[in-house]
Amino acid sequence: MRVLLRRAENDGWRYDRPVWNIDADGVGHAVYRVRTPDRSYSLVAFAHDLPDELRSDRVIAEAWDSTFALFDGEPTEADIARLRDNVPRQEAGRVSGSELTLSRANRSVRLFGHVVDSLAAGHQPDPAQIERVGYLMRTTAVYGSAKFGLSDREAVADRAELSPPFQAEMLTVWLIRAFTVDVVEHLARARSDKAVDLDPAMRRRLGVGNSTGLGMAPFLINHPVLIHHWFQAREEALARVRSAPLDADKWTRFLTAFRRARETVASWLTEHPYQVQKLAALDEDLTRLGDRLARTEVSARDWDTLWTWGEEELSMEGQELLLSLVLEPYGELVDDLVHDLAADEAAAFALDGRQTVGALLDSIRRNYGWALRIDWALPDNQARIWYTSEEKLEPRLGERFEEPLEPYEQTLGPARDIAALTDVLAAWPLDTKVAEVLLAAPEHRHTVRRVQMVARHPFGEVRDNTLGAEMMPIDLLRAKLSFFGATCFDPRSDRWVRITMFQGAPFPQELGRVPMDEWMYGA
Amino acid sequence: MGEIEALARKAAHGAGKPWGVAEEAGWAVRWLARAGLPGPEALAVGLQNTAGKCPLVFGCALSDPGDLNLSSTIGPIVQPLLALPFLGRNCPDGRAVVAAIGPARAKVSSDTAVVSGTVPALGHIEVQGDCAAPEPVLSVSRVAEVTPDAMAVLKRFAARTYAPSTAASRALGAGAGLTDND
Repeated sequence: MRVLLRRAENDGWRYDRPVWNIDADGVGHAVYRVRTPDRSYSLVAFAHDLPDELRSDRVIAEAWDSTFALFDGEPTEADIARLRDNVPRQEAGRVSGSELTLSRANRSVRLFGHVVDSLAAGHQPDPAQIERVGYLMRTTAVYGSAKFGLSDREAVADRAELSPPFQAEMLTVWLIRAFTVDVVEHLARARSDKAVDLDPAMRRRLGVGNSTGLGMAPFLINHPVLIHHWFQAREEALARVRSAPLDADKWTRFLTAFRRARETVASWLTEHPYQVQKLAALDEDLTRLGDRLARTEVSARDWDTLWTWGEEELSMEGQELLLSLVLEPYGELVDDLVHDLAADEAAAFALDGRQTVGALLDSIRRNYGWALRIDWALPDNQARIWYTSEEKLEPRLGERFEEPLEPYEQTLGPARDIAALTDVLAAWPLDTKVAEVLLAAPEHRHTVRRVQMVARHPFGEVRDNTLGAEMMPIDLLRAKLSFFGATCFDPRSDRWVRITMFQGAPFPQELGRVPMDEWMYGA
Repeated sequence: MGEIEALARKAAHGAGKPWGVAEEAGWAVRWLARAGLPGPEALAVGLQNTAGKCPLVFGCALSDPGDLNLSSTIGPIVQPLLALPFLGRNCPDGRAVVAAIGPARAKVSSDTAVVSGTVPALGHIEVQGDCAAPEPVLSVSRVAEVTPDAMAVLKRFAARTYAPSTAASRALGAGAGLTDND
């Protein structure tokens, strides 16, 4: 999110809303446009009148409160007509290479109604209710690259603004956020002459919600090269800051981010026991970190010492937050790492059949010792099975020994597969070429490719058992969502979560008027 | 392109190819479509017709050793067009392999290919020299054009990888409530 907004600010993007064709019932379409120095992008938004009983955030839903496509350029009337026939149907429709994303969102019924009612009555909504939910609508999917006819990433990845991964998706969500606020104000005005607009400060507190299900977990496992680049950038950023000089100004900026982060954490609401327990630990972490910061003499201030202390003293949750906070004063030192986030996955695809069995086994021992130590004969260690349902191709997770799903298993258990490959390799002389093994055992081709990819991209592997009875899919989802800059991680079960995006961020209509990158920690 | 690659991968797996070979099918089909060659159609026909050598297994066997493994050029190969991308896989930039596929002639680099004549549905591939020719120049297709027949066949095979939906799977598999009116 911040990569997008920094670029929008630095490149002087301009924004307008050339079309607003929404009736008093909130049905119609609108176009939100940003202009970069080289081209335009237009979010085409369709607003619908959805009966409550159809409102579902599952992939298997078939209707939504609003649907969107990000058009590459400026759509003609004919484009809009074509999109109107397809975008509201989402997966059942067909879009084209002129579109970069396809998305939909549902109202947060309680907050949406409360805000419209309040504005129509001529007063501001209750700030406590805004804080409790944090958004007017939740997206339930933001599809990109080549899905349902959308443009291939390959076709646009050479544009500076789309080169970092998922920037078209982030732009989509940012513009959807503007739409959600425009719609409530419009509905309030349609209902009453004394309607007022949302107070600007309250507007800022509205982000966009997102419901994320299991689909994100396979992505994390299926894209080791890309994921390696993300974690490599994170590690590199931390390493740079740990060895960076620390002056009074940096320290002050760090303390400011810390103070704001404490406020953000204090307002972070979830009911799921898994996250409630983590938040309690985080709260303790923040108290201890606060005490330590207050006690640190000027002469003893040093990022490396602080980080080493954190690694020993804080929970995982606390360590991750500390990592984000120490980067905060050092934009000039770490922001260029955005150029390393993209990866040429195609270039890493071809496997090396010249490698010897001995070298492959060395590589397995180096990167997968943990997988070989798992007892694969124990049912609990492969209790889960990943599959795709024929029902709108929804990714699902089943119980291997209770449901007849094995014929449909997706290849998402690298640890188990690598253990099996290792057993097969044991029967071959060490100087045999991998090509020869694969000729006899093509069923291990996927796994050999993975071992070779991970040897070159070590951060690309999850390094845990993705099939175990204890596996928490939401941990996988969170790893990916955190790179987007998602906040308020709110699990709804072990396999789907709600998050908030862009809460506190400026709106597109504020481009050129306010700083675009000073909002993440409750600014 | 990404869409046809994913569909080809799923279709090949649905037809019984192991995942790693199915990934090669996705790669080869996209590669061919990018070169303006009927890769999706070749896969659709090839998956239905198994009387002959699998072009994907053949292609892997040919290219895996790093230089062309000419001892593997025994045939006949089903839909030999699908094996074409593998011929040039190991060529250095700017170089190409020349091959005869039945009556057709092909020049294949790591990036693209030009084919003259009709590639047979079943045939031998004879490689003539290892990356000795200059790379062919070709415009790149950005969008895969796929015939409706081929699309239908690939979708049918891909559907074999999807689990039938049951009430239990719908309720438990994604772990979500069915409504979000809150």
